Parts: sequence; C-alpha cells; structure tokens
Amino acid sequence: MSGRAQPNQPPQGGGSPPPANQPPASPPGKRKVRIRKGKRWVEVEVDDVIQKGRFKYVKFTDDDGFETYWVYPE
Amino acid sequence: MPFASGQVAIYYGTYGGTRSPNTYCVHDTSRSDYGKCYGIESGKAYFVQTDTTTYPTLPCEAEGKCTRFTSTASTRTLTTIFSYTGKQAILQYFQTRSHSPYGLDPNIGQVILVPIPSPTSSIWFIGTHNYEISTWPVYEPVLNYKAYLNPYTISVGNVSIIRWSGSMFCSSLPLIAAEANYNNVWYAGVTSVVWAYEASPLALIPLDYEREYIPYQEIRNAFGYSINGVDQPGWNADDIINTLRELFPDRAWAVLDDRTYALYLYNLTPDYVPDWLVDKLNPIGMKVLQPPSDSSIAKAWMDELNRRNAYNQLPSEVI
Repeated sequence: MSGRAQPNQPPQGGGSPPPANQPPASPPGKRKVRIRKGKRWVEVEVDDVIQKGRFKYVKFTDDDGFETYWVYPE
Repeated sequence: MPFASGQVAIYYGTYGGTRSPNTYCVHDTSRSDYGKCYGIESGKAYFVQTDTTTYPTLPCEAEGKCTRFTSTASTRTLTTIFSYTGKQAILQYFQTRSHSPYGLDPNIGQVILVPIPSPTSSIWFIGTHNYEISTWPVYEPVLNYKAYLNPYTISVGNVSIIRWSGSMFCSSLPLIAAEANYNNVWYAGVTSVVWAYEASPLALIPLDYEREYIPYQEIRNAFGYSINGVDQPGWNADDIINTLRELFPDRAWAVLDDRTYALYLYNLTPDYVPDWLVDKLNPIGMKVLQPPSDSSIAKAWMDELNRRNAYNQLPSEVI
C-alpha cells in the first residue's frame, strides 16, 4: 500500500460530527454503514475496520450473535 | 461447473528458485564424511542405505539433513499432494527437478521425482513419451536464471528437469520417487504442481495424510485432502462445520462457503488469518464461530498454513 490517502477509507478517529440540524445517526463511537449481504442491503453498527490482504472489512455483531467481518462497502 | 486452482511446491533438500542446485550427499563409503549431506537448502534430502548394522545412523540423519530409507524400492510414494474422493480434479502442470549421483540413461538410471495421477498408467509420466528430460545445464530462461545467464555444470551428481503440462482427470496425486531399486543412493529435488478441482466449500485445516487414525480418514473421505491445507473441497459448508466441530473441537480450523463466500472461523479470529489466504480466497465476510480459547491453538493453525504456503514463494534473492 502506498502512503497516499485512500478516497474510500473510513474516517479515522471518529470522523466529522453530523451537521447541527441533524440528529446523530448512531451513538457516539458507533457508525452505521450499509453492507450487501446476499441480495439485500442491511445497515450495521460498525465496531471496527480492519485490513486483511487487499480487502478492508467492517467488524460488527451480526443478527446471529457472531462476531462478523464484512467487506467494507466501497 | 466452475473450477478452482490448487498449487503447491514441495522441497526435498533443495529450493524452488535456487541458482546453484548443488545439494548432494556423500555415498562413497571410502570417504571419511560418508553419509553427510551438503548444501541442503530447504526440507531434507533422501538417502537409501539398507545396511543398518554397519551404518546404524548416517551423519545426515543425525544432522537432520536427510530422511533415510532402509529398504530399496522400485518406486516409492513420498507424499500425497491431493486426494479427492468423489470430486474431480485435473492435473494441469508439474515441474520436477531431481538431483542424484547417477547419470541419465534411457531406462531412467537416475532417481527422479514425478507426480503420477491416480488412476492412470505411469507409462505416460515415467519415460520420455511426452516430456523432455535433460541433464544440467538446462536452458530454462524463465525459471533458471543461472542456466540462462551463466551456464555451469554441477560438480557432483546429475540434475534432471521434467516438465509436463496438459490435462489429466484424476482423483488423487501421489508424488513418486522412481528409485530403480538403488541402494546406497541419495536424492534431492523440488516438485511444483498446479491442478484444478471442482469449486466447492473448503475445509481449511492442515492435515497429515499419513496419520491413519479415524478422524483423518473420515475427513479425507468426506472433504478431500490437499497437502497445502487449503484446497480441500467438500460438499456442503454446514456439514463440514458440523463434522469439524465433532472431530476437531479443540483445534483451529476454517471453512469457506463457496456460495456466499463467507469464511467461518473456529478457534480463530481474523488476526490469525494470513493476508495471502484472504487474497487467495477473496471472502466477502468472515464469521467467528468461536474465538480461540487458547491463542496457541490459533497460532498453530496459522503457523502450519504459513509453513506450507512458504513452499510456494520464491526465495528472497530471486525476487
């Protein structure tokens, strides 16, 4: 990987605050992203983002209770 | 039906990209260093010496540089590269480089390593029917920089290179050493194989094919076996998971569901999944079925996969 900033990287350190006229989308420290599982898009609360190989994964707890990692939506 | 690729390189005393394949052992019994092996780069060479009275232990055995056989053989199975009961596989390519003390003759006077697909006849793979066999130096502009840039002749023994490419359907692939019943002979070599198999859920658990106790037999029969621990196809991801839970509750393993491309981790977390494995399998998601109760279990899985995968890497000086 080069040191150049990646356009689709999640913001580090929590990111920018939401605009003042909108309520926060999720509790502090928990961002929500939409991931594609099978044929549908679902919204999940992100615990972490990790890099494995050439892929980036979001970490969350799935409906089945398992710790789950899913390809970060580009 | 889509297919997936498997690949492995296996080193017996010499290295895949070595520029000076001077691996050799001393088989002249009059020499004081009889039974020693020099220039061992990766893995161990082989030494056939049936006289255990005069030579209870060879120096190369004691030094961990050779594996000794105390009986002669016409052909000997060194290992099984893959074995897929009920799955189709296609051998597509292999290259072997064998190094032994004797010269070539039309009847294979040299010990050679060769994968022989099963079921098939060895006549297509041992002999000179459909591949080239040559003594060193060999003009090999792609793989052998030394021969290309600076041809040389090794000082001891002979090297042969066998390359075969085609397509041969088979269910298993043992790696054979054609020893021609020689006694007091050593050999070293490297074998690289590429094959295809029906795309399928994979059981990612490095197994030892020769350990014959029941769980290994069951899983080999149900899921298939490959020496790299990765290309082990099965029928159904849920069944593989359930069976592995029963057979190996205390080991680390992973299962790739090839329909959803989810990688299920047991006694593992993504921290222990090597990057090269992710790049090979391209999982869309990973699920931790059970985090490691003991990190040493997860590390053992990672280390063993890395060890086997290291065979597929070129040595650093070549890159």
